Amino acid sequence: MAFLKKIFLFLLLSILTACEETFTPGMPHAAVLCVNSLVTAGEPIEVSVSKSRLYTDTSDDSGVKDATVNIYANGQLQLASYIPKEGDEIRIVAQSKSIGSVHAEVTVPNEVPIEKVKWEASDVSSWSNEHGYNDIRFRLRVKLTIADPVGENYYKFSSRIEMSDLEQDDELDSGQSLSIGVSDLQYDMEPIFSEHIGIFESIMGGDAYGFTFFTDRQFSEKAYTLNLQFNNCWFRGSLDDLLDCDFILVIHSISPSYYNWVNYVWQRDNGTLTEFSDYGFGEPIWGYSNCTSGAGVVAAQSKNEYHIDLTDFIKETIITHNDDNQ
Amino acid sequence: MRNTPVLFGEADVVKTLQTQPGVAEGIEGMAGMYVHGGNADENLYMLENVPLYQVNHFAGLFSAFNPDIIRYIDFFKSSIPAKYDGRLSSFMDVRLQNGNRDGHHGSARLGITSGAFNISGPIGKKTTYLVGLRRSWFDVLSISLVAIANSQNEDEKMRFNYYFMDFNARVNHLFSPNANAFVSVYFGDDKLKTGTKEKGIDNKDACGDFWDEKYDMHWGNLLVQTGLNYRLNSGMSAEFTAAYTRFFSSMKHVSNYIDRAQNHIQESNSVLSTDNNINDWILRGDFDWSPNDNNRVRFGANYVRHSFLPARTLRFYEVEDTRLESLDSTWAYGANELNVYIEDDWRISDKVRMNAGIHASLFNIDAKTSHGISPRISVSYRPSENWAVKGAYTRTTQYVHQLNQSYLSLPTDQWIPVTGKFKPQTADKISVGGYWQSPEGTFAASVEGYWKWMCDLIDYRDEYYLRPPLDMWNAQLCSGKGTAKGVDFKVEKVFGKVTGQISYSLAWADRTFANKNGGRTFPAKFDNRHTINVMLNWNINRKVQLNASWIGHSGNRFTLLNQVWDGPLFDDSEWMGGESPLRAEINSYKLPFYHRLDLSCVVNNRHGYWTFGLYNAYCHMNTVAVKRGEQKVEHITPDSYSISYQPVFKKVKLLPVIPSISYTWLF
Repeated sequence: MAFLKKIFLFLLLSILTACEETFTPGMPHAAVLCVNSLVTAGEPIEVSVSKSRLYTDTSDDSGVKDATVNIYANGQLQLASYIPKEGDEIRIVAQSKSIGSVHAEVTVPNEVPIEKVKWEASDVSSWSNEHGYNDIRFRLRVKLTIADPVGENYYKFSSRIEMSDLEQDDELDSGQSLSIGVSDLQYDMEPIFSEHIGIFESIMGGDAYGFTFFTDRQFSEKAYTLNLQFNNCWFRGSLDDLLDCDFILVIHSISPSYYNWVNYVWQRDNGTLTEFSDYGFGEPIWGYSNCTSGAGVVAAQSKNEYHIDLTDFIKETIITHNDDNQ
Repeated sequence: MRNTPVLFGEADVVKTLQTQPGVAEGIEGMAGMYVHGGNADENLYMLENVPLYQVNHFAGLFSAFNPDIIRYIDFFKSSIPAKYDGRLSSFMDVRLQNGNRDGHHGSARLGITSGAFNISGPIGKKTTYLVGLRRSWFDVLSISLVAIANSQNEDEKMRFNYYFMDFNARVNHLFSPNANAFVSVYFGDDKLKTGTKEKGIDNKDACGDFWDEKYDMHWGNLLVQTGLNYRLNSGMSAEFTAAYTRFFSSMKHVSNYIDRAQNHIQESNSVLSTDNNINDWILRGDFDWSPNDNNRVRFGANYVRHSFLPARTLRFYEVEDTRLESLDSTWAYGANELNVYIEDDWRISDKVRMNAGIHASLFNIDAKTSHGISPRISVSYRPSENWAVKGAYTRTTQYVHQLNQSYLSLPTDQWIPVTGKFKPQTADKISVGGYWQSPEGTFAASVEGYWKWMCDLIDYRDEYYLRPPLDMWNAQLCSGKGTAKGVDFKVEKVFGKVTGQISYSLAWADRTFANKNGGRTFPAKFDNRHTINVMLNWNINRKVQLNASWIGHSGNRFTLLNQVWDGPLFDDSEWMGGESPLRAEINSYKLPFYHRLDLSCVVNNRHGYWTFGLYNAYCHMNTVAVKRGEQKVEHITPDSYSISYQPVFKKVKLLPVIPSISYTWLF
């Protein structure tokens, strides 16, 4: 429905007939330090330091050679080996003699409990290919319930699939590749993924495709069940190849800065306000930052995982198929 | 109004007032009004003494007043009478024609964008009527375009329909030479309906995913009023008004999704809607009393019962056994507003005259009462018949505010009352002026300086758009202050074959908000330092009139984000990264000087008149914004050819020369 935004802008601009002219504005500018970091509970911290540049500068020189970075946890300076944990208050300070200094603070959020997971496979179809391997296609529906803790909380959902000892798409002895996948999440089926989209943005065609971030504003301190539907799930291989395969659901508790950053990116890429500002009808939108320089994002997260064992389901499907064909 | 050339040739009250010194037009082509450094919502627009909240159509390209039925307009921006309060910057009262007593007469106008039909006449000996209708043509054009588009697409049916309209009706009854009453109705709205429907949704044999989506936006005003004008005696008259005025704005997205496979059907329904309404019930009495030749006292009172629904968002979603329904915590506010005023226009001597008054108000909302005391005083000294100097002090108080996410007039604009931590907005203004009129009254000139302080202004805070839609509306706001100062010069020729005016304004306007721009003071968007307006009207003969209007002003202010930084790629999600603009000082960049010439020609004939217009006659496309874009660069060598894209800044320019034509049939 993004065409509605185009219709709206087309109508306005066809009446107002916009044209553009390249020019160089004579505005002073001074580079500032930019710090990006995602602090994950239980993992070492990586910090990226760069500097801002003029938009028209194509030298691709954003590096800062003389930068130093200090990490503080709960007020104490930490060594590079420091591993953050939930509840830690992290402060990252970067300095450069040539550019200046910048700092940002974030608190590592607590892991959110996963209360319950129910799943079912539907629309299962199975067939054998010419090499005698089985192909299975199915749709996976998952209902994942989380219990929202006290306070204002922000979340992200992600998933991945793992097969023990063997990476998917590894080549089998026969030259065929073993393949398993769960994809095509129906973002529209879970309304919480679109809570950041206002009515006007919705009318202008904004959708939640690819956006799995949400807040607890609609279910504060209560349980909430995510309605997740993956329309494109498959397995290719033989019963002998089949190893333990898990579909892993991950609920990330994320810091407000993480949520604000992705929300900004959505607005930047999909929002109508950005289009308005391009034509002078609205105020320009700058990048969200929680760093003192206005450049960079220091975010934090904790993860909780739930494993769905698909092995038995695949096994039974193959056996049923083979029995039917005999 | 007829003599002011405007975009699309549609005579427009607000666009005519934009030519007055001290009034900035805002975004080119729009019917915005920014008076003496104020904001767009600081102007009180009234239709016969009753406020109208929504005064724009089609994102602001047209104002809501049907020009063909207007009798006169009162417009105040300096030394404001005590009768008016409730807005900080200006007051405009549009008075409609009474209706023709001599017979049934009217006009029908056909223009590029809209048509209008007006008729008035007598009903018996003492009663007259007036009916006016103006409606846009866009939907008539779009029906055929949408039908063509749908005939090309077998799978999907598109809906698109937009119109705006204004309807006025007025009945006036003369009880006696000293008493007359009227009943008047105004309804104006904009309606946009769009959406798509996939044809498979109704075909029960079709397998696949099918959508049916409807989008509705509807916004406008309804105003019903009755008034009684009564002359009690030769020295005193009164006007009583009872009115209901309603502003409404709603947006709704209804979606129906069917996933139909051979062995199952899954259906989901969702509704997302938001509403913003104001309902006002008004009772007022205004009195005009002349106790003697040297005093004229005006006094009155009014009571307004407001009902505000600032912005209520509903989300509803249903699929199989899952149902999510959430209504944000915004509730309707009832408010009571009481205003009393009194002023005396006192001729102290032949040379000195003073107008002193006070407007007091109470505004009760959410168990909290705010009050406003708005004193007004102006003193004029006339040293000779042709000269006058005047000084004035005016305080104004405002209890409702409009929040705009853009400079377009859209249904997303919200009218909100002062509640919670926010206080009523106030403005204090002093002005001093000198006025001259030639002995025969042909020429007039004036110079007027002003200084205005505005407190408790309300605006969106920085990065407000990151707040989710279900958040309380006032969580996105912050309060601050502003100042404006300047000098307006004006010379006009009032009589003769050639009439017109030249005006020049020198002005400054700024804002300071704790949660905007790091708390630092920044220039207002329409802080146009120099503005020149030239208007000429030449009555060549009884049949033909030529009109020209030239405007030039310092460019609008703009927040130019000229630096970028590399965004993070958290969890290896590539869509998150990319360049992000670095925040910059708000409105620190001044766009290039703006100038434009508009021409129009009115040709009268036996049955009516033609109006030919040429907007931006010398086609100077003015810069309205600066955007970050890319420029294609070709690299050509004898051996190779390649293309790259270089980031560049681009001036965005709107509105070339636009001709217009309309015909008005008078009967």
